[in-house]
Amino acid sequence: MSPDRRSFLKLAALSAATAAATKASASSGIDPELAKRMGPGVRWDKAPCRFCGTGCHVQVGVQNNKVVAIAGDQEAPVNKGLLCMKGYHVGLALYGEDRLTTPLLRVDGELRPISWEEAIAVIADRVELDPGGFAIYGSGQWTVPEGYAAQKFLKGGLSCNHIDPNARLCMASAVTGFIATYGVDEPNGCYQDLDECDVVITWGNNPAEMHPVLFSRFMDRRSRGEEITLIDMSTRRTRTSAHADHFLRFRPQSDLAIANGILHLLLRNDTWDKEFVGKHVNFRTLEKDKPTLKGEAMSFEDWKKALEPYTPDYVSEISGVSVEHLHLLADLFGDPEKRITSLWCMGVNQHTRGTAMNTLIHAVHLFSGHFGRPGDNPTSLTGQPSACGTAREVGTLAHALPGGRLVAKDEHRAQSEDFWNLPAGRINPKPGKHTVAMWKSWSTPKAEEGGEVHTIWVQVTNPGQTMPNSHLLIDPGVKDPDKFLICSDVYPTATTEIADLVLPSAMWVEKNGIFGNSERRTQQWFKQVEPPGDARDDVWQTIAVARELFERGFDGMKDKDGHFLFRMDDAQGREVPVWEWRRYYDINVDERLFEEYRLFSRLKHKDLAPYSEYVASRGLRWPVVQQDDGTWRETRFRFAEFDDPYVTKGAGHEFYHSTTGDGRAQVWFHPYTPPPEEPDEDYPLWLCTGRVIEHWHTGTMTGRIPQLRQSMPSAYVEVNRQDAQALTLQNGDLVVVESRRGRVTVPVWIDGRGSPPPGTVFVPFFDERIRINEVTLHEHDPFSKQPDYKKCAVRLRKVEA
Amino acid sequence: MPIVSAVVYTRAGDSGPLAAALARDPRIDVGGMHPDRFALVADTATRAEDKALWRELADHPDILRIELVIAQFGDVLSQEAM
Repeated sequence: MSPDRRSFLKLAALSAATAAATKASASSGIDPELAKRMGPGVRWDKAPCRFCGTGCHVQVGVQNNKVVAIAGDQEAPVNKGLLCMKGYHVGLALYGEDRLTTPLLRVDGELRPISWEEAIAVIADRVELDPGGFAIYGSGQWTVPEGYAAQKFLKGGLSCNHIDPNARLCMASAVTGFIATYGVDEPNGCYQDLDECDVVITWGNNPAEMHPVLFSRFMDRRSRGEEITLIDMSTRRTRTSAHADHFLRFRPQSDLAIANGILHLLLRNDTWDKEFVGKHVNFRTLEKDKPTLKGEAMSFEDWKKALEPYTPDYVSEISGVSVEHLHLLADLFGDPEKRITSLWCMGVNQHTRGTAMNTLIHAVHLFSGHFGRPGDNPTSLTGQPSACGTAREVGTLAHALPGGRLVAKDEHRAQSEDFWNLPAGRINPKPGKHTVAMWKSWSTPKAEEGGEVHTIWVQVTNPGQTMPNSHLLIDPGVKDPDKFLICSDVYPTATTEIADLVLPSAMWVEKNGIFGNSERRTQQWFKQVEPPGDARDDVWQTIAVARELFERGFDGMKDKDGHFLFRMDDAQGREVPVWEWRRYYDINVDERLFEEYRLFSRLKHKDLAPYSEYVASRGLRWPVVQQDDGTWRETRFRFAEFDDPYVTKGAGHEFYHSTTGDGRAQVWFHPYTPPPEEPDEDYPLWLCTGRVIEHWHTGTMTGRIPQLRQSMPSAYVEVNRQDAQALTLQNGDLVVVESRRGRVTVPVWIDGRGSPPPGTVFVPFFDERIRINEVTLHEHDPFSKQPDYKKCAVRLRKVEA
Repeated sequence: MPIVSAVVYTRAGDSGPLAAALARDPRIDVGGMHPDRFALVADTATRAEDKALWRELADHPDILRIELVIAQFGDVLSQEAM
């Protein structure tokens, strides 16, 4: 069979059907039938999918240095051979016609080709201008070694902490929610919860489109005759709602009231878990003066009193959810026999009260005792393939260091300096600028007015399209000529459009990589094809700049023995010049960086196994702890004695990173408060933004896959039929969606794929021609600093022909 | 130019003969086989032909049910070879 695109599609479609028909493991991850059909010329290897945070594994078929086939990996525990429509097409993401293949420097307004040597020198010049004003903006698509190298370069090399990932826009509130509740980030449960729960509650998320493989994992149980109840809570009807037993539509921001209402009813009905609460939780509230994630103690009586106002009638009035549905939720959580899995994602995280809402979901589970058993856990999902593995675990955040360390803590900096063999005091104790602050600083001309960030190096992300209120934060029209933007990417984007220096990157299986998915699973893959033209690995780019600075005598690029910060030796102890591209793959740089990083992972009980264990597996969930027989055992359920090796024997459950130091989790009280902006006479509609199944984030990859682009060629605004009638709108009419911050013109889709209630519209953000983030708010959660993309006030104006 | 794949469940305990018969149709390729089901992909020239083929399959006396897995309706023939 010739490896043309049609054959590729047919094979992908057939492999999907084969996987669906098989549902059983073969000896390798490749379906034997598919392998036979593709013939002996195709070499197969594993890789996690490049797109979302689910972490599905694919088998990549390569022939003549090209990816010619993708199959669901039947050996992968995450997806068991299944893939979604993006996963089946992931191979085509490499082959858009406009891949970036050479470095480009903006001269007189035009991007012109330059050599890599020139590009590296330009970056080194910008660093030397003022290392403290040099920032890196990365992402949850960074591989673990990429994020780790960038982190070490900036914090260990430049003594600068201005590094933050786009994950700040995506799951930062989940992080602060976990830390405030358990003292440590990331879910206790795993995807096995979906196989064993009786009830799934989706809190403002839409897994049918955003995490379709996980969605099918539990919906498949229903098709096999198992009873599984799906309760979908959302501000608009979605494909998930269509499958739900109960759809609870709530008014934007009122999710806090709903959670408090459930807790109120658990108290009133006396159906809370007294044993679990007595043994394992404390009650907390925010300090009045300077609120922190630690909060202050609250007596049970005070906590109970604080919840008194949240009667079903009051909550129903705020939220629009019926009293009956509130009782339904409370009755389910009040039933100890039910196993309940809560899922949430951007709806809860992209929220000016995101931290509070995250802690309240945990509170409902902890207070009701629905915690720690398989199927009975609160589980936040992520949107990017390594938001957990890189952004959260490597800690590529402005305040963090790898392994859950904090730059502000003397002891943590000393540990990191020790691991990195740096002179004492090299790491700056002052937290850097988080995403919104970083871009605001870059968009502010004068240092004395807060504009000290003079250069940002963007890696593996597209802030030109995703930054909220983008006129304020990343507007090329107001960009100061002294500011400089570097962008490493694989395709032209809204960010390369305004960048001063564009670097062509290798992507996905064009390089070695490691991702960490939503269930704490670390996944490794090898390079399988060469990148096009002069595109090169992001890790190499970072090391090459570091080496240029080293050779210029920049002290920060030396360890305390005078060696290069990224020194790597061969088996004979000779330094390998990995900063030279032709020598970069002489050794496995990913493995070296991973083994160094692995030291940090043990500091907060997130132990990682040696690199070779990940080569041999389809990922392992941390903590991965070596057994007496030398094997490595992963952990499915944290804080539970039956599975977590760090729980003290006999404790049952133990929160060994408790912020109160007593092994207990924190059940918080957070009151409902109105959102920062609500519809009014001038801007009478709510705007919600989000994703669609066909496209991944800003569409820079999926938009170049013809089948996906044709399935969903452009963004749209979903309008309720009643609103459409009032505005005399027809399907396809162009309207201006306008807020106090900006406007876009977009076609109307009445009741759309989702169905917003009257007074609400929805616009996806994948389309770079329709940049809805010119409209959104940049107001953010006070703890996570994550902006709210899910609610702001807009108006619609029909564009007359 | 539709490409559609599905899991086909057969009425008989042995899906082999039905799969073999269907595989003789040039528009159809058969994938993973199991006693009561098999994977199938159909490649047709037009949406109308696709619709007619699946109607024919749905009405086939030996087919118990069909579970659609993936459907592609893009004009992939016009794309350059990879």
